[in-house]
Amino acid sequence: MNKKYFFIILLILLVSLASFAQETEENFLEPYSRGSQTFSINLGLLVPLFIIFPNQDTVFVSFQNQLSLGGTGSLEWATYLDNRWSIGVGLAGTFAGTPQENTHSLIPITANLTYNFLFNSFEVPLIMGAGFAVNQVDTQVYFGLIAKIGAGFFWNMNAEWAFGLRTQYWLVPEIYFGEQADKTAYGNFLDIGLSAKFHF
Amino acid sequence: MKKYIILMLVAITLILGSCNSDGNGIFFQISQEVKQITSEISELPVHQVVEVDSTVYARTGSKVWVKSASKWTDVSKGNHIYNIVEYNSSLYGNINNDDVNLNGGKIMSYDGSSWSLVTDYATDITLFEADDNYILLEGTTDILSSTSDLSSFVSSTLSGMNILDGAYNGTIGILISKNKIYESAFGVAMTEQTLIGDATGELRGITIDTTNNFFYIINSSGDLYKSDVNGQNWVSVNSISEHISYNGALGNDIIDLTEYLIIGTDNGYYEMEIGTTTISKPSATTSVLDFDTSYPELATELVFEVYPSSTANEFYLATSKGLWKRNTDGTFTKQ
Repeated sequence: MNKKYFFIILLILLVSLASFAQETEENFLEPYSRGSQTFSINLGLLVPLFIIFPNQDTVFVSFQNQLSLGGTGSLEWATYLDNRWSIGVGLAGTFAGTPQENTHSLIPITANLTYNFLFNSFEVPLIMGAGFAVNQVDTQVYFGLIAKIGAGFFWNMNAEWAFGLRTQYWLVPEIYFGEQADKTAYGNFLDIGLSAKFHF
Repeated sequence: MKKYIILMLVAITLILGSCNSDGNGIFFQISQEVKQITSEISELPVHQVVEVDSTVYARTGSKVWVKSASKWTDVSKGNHIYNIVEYNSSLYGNINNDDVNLNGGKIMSYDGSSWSLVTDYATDITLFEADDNYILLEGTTDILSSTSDLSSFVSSTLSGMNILDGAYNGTIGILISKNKIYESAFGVAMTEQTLIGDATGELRGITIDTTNNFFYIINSSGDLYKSDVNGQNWVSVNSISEHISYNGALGNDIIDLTEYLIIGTDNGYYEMEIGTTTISKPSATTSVLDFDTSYPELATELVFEVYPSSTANEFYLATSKGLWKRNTDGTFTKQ
C-alpha cells in the first residue's frame, strides 16, 4: 500500500515539473546537436504480459492472475551523436505483486540507443536498450540480461524541457542450465508511462 | 579485441549459469503461485476435521466450526469440545469438566443448532473414531471400551493404556499406545502385540490400506511399519527424515483409482503408493507442476490430521495454520 502512495506522489511531482518549466519558454528549431545531453525521469505502469517457458509442455503462460499491474520508475542520461542519434544509460526499478503476496521486482541497468524523429515542437524517439537486470521475487534473486525496445511521443516545451508519453517492451530472460533447464523462462512486460526530459 | 569479447561472453554465461542455482526459477515461481483465501479459521491451528454427509466441521483446540458456503461459524456454544466424530449422519463430541481438578466427561450430539447430552461419565473421557468404530477412553485408569455403535460401549479387560489411535480393517481392530499395539475385534478384550524389527520409536498413528487390508503404523521418527491382514508380522517399510508430533496424521485415500498412504509430518505431508515402498513429497500433477512452489505454506506446515473426504480423490489436511483440501483436479485449497 505504501508503494502505491509513493508512486502516486512521484506522478504528481512529475506533472508539477511541467508548470515549473513553462516559466522559461523559448523558441527553437533544432533542439539537439552533437554533444547535447538529456536527463530523463520516467514514471509509469508495468504491464506483465506473458512468460515463455521453452522447455516446458506449456510454452506460453499468461501473467494474468499471476502478477499484478505494477509500477516502474527510471532515470536516464543520454548524449547526442548528432541531431538524431543518441546513446545513454538508464537505471530503472519495478514492482508488482504475486498471488501469495510476494513482491516481484526488476532493477535493470541498460545501455540505450535512440533515434529521434522531429516534427516541429514534437519528437518521436525510437528506443532500444540492452543490459543487465536484477530479477527478484520472494527469496530468489537472479542476475540476468534484459532487452528493451519502444517509442515515445514528446512535446518540446522549450529548449530545455520536453514532456511526453513513452512505452517500452521488455524481454527479461532467465536462463538455467542442467537440471534446472526446465525453469528457463523469458518474461515479457510492457512499460507505459510519463516522461520528463531535461536538455542541457 | 575478439578474444576479449569471447571471454566476456563466457564470463556472462558462467555468471548466469550459476545464478540462483538453489532457487526454483523466478518466473516459474510466479507462474505456479496460487492465491489462497483467508477465512475465520485460515490462520488457526486446525486439529481435526469431520465430514457429516456434505457438511464439514473443523475443530480448533476446543472450538468446533461448521462451514457454510465459504464462511466458518463457531458452533461450540460455549462448550469446550475435545474431540469430534461422525455417527449416524450427526456430529458427536466429547467435553470434559473445565476444572482440571474435577473429573467428569460427556458425549454430546449436535443437531445443527444445539448440543444435547448423550451420555454422562463420572471421569474425563476421550472419544475417537477408527474406521467407523468408536473408541472411548475413560478417566485416569484408561479403561477402554470400543464398539461400532456409539450408544453401547463395551468394556475391555485392558487398562492402564494411553491409547493414541486406532484402525479397523473389517475384521481386526488395532489400537496403539505410545509404545504398544493391541489387536482384537473391537468390543472385546484385546491382546498386546510385539513390534518386530527396530520399531523402537514412539508410535504416533495407525491406518489401513483398503486394497490389501494391511495395517500401517508410523512412529515419531518417521519409521513406517506394515502388518498382515491379521495385524501381525510387522515389518519395516521405509523411513522419512521428518518428525511426527501428533497422532492421527496417518491416513489413506484413493486418488485416480490408486490408493496412497498419506503421512502428515511436522514439515508438510508425504505420500506412498500402496504396494510400493517409496515415500515422497507430493509429486507433480498436470495441474500442479511443483507442489512446494504452488503451496509453500502447506509444504512446510505441521499436519495434525489426514482425513479422507467422502468425495472421490479428495482429502483434508488439518494443519497448524488452517485446513487444506486436496481437490479432485489435484490442486489444494485453503478452507
